[in-house]
Amino acid sequence: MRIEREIGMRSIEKVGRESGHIKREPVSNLLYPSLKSLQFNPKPEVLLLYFQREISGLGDTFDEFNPLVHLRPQMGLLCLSAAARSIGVEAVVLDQRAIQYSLEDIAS
Amino acid sequence: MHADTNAKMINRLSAITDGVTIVVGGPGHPNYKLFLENGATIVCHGEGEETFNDIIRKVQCGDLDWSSVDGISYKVSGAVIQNKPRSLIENIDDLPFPVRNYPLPLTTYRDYYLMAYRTPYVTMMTVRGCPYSCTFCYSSAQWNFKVRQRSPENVLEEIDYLVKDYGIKFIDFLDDVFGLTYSWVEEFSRKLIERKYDLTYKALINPNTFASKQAKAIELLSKSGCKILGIGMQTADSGTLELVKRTPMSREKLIEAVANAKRNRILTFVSFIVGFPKEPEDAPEQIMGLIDDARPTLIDCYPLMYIKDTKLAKQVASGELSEAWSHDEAVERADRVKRHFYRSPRNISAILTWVLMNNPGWYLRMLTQWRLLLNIAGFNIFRSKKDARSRYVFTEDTLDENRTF
Repeated sequence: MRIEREIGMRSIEKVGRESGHIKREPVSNLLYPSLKSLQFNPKPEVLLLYFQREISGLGDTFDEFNPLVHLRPQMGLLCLSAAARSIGVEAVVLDQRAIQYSLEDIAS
Repeated sequence: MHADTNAKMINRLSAITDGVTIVVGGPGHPNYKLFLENGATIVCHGEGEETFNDIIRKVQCGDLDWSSVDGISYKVSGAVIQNKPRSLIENIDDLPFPVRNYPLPLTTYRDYYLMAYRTPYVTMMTVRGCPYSCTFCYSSAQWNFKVRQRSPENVLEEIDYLVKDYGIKFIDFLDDVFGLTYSWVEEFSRKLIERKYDLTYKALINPNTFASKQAKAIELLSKSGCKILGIGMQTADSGTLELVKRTPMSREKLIEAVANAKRNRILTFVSFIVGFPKEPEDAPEQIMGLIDDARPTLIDCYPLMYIKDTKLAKQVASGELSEAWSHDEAVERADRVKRHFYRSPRNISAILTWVLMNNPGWYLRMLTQWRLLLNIAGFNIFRSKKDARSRYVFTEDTLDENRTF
């Protein structure tokens, strides 16, 4: 299935090239850290996931999308994160446009 | 949003996680049955803060009886249950400020589409809802046709914290209509001016916003740091404006609003839509004429998308209205408007001059993005016709799979 091939940052870049209309500049791990390289303190109890547009289908819609030019924070998830903190629960936003992770990383 | 693709992801996630509660929310929530069938534990409808916290509390207690949580859908013994809708939060000043700068630094995010953009920047909302009920737009229905606004004090308190803790230099206000009233804008602007922050921002308004006090309101916005004013006009044809309940609106109102902004050296960005039902053949030409008269700094023109659950989509689905233009025709009409504007040396010169005078650092980034700029301007040199069509494919279960989401 296409979706299974697309999961993971490296394959996203491949999909971008295949589709022919998503220009991607080389990204560095400094700009886009992997989930494993991030330190969470305290350990989150809730993960708020936002997936790459290329994966969730919006890559075709925003073909001018280039994360080095336009990467808008996801207000809804930031608000949910704050709401969870207000009841003492640590909830972190994992924005896949800016953090490299796969569904398997989440599961583990 | 590509409901089928998201459903596959939910399916995969539920297969590889065990005992994890998967909650799905956001604008795709009307596809809740599909998500639940693919492994979502709960689909959250509407405003999320209180609903999400109720879900967290229940999971913490190990109580998985969801019947008492308003605003959600879930499955019991294979049957989909939808609880009663959750009431909207009355006072949105009571909500905590969004979490910023964690786990990623604020500088991760950027928006060079905004020509006044400076870093670090944040997006912010001061209003939930829209006072207008344009039939093609989902905003009013999304917020149950209610408008709630934060107080100027509450917004300024968040700005104080963002400036002092993170050194914020630019705010992109995402409200459908910023400020709503002159009195709100007056209080907000005066208090922001008193603070003397090195802070600029973008706001969206409607040509009618602030009514007879619009000139004074825009002057105050400018003095308080507003550098970009987005104005939604949508069409120049009076019959279409009436059809989509976008009245009272007129060419003169837009021309006046743009003039007010330009007097205060604010960049104006006016958006249009083509492809409405009953839209006349010459609608793009009417828009071009209006653009030539108003002379905004930037424009964009979009092909109409029928958004699920909007009045316009329902009118077309029921046969009350019929589509006048195919999607390809609408794309072509939109590109024609954009080319008209961006082929004008006068307009290009105005854009370049504004950026040079107000934010020259913007050039350093965007000059490397010339292909992107040409595509935005409607030249489509690097986009095939097939690509242009595929851009607007969202979901399968709406009235026209190629034009809706």
